[in-house]
Amino acid sequence: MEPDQVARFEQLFAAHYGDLMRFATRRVGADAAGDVVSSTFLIAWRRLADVPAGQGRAWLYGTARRVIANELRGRERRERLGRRVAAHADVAADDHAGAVTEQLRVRAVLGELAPGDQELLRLTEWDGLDVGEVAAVLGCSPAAVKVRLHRARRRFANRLAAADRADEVRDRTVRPIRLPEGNAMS
Amino acid sequence: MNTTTGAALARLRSADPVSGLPAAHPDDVTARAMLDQILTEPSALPRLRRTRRRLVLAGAVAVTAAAVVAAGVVATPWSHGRPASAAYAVTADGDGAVSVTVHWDQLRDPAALNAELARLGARTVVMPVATDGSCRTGFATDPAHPFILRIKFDEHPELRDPARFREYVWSQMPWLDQTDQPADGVAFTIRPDRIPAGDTLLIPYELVPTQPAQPAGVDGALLRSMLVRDVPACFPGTADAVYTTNGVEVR
Repeated sequence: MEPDQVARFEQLFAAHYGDLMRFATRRVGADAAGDVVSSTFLIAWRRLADVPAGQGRAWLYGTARRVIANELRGRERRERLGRRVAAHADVAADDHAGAVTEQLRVRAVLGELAPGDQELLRLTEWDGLDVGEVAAVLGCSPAAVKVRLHRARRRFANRLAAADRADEVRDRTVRPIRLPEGNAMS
Repeated sequence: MNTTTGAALARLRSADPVSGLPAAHPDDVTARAMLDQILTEPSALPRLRRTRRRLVLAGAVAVTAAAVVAAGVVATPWSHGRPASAAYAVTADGDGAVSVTVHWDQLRDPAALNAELARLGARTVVMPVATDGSCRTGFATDPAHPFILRIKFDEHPELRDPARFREYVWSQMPWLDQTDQPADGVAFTIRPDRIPAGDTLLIPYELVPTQPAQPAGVDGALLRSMLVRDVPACFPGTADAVYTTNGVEVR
């Protein structure tokens, strides 16, 4: 490996390490994210000539998705990561209870969408990828991404609005039960 | 995008599960260790495997740079030659140097090779990398001779020239010369008198299995080298340990 290529790899690492860690943490939890990112960059190191100039982030995200998929296919690994994902999903950050409830509700709505819609929304809204990058990650055309993304956004907004309406109805119909003093529940 | 959709997406962005976590920075210790370890790995491995060439990663020879500067890794491919007749050969050169030839796919008993090295005063131990998870022992290298050598190209611009770079890296290891590239192996010369007092030259090797489409066997080996005060009982693989500037740390 020539020094210039090493310099290019180090620039790639410096530019995208943080983003990739966040990407992997969302999907496999903080504990396993380091392994995913390390494997992804190792592949990039070994195939640096395949990493297109100006499309490094999309190439890395696409590779990281495959690394995660491969890891999850292994039974032992899948079980371990599954526990981490579950633990990660259940752990609420130190935050105001209302904000946490709102986040969990929004994520639950996202989780009700078709997997393809979820992926598009995660890549654009959480990872901040543009249409061209998403197309590169998913292996489809930018035009197709535009159409699918428009529909996914609309479906998400509709479902979120429906969930909000359902919560409003529940809030109006459920009243707290006041117990007479001295009748403590055990 | 209408207002309702825009508001929904804003709420989605606020619900990012990592929004409350500290940002991972490429200059933090974990990231630097990850980068260092990756750069100790052979580059362009698939291409080398296809051509069935052998790769030697000369150990302390993994070179990285700090911050925004660049660095390089020296990798020397093995060429094909005559078939080997023995797993290894160790000879004393008369001037104190010890010449070693190893054919990795035939090496079954590194203990015997090490006994021969010790008999000739090579102050060197060859050790297989435990890639099966059986070794979880960390150790330190000689702090005066870091396992991973950092070079700042802005301070040494002449080293951007690959030939000079390679020459420089080898010059940092005067106790070891790669001298030949026999079939399925490597030949190198150890100069024990140049190994710092109290140190032992440790050469861990890792066999590279053949690709699935090829006949089962060994497609080569990866070599590293480092100076240690105390020889570890085993050498962990990268799945179990991180190779750092100052040695090997278990995960």
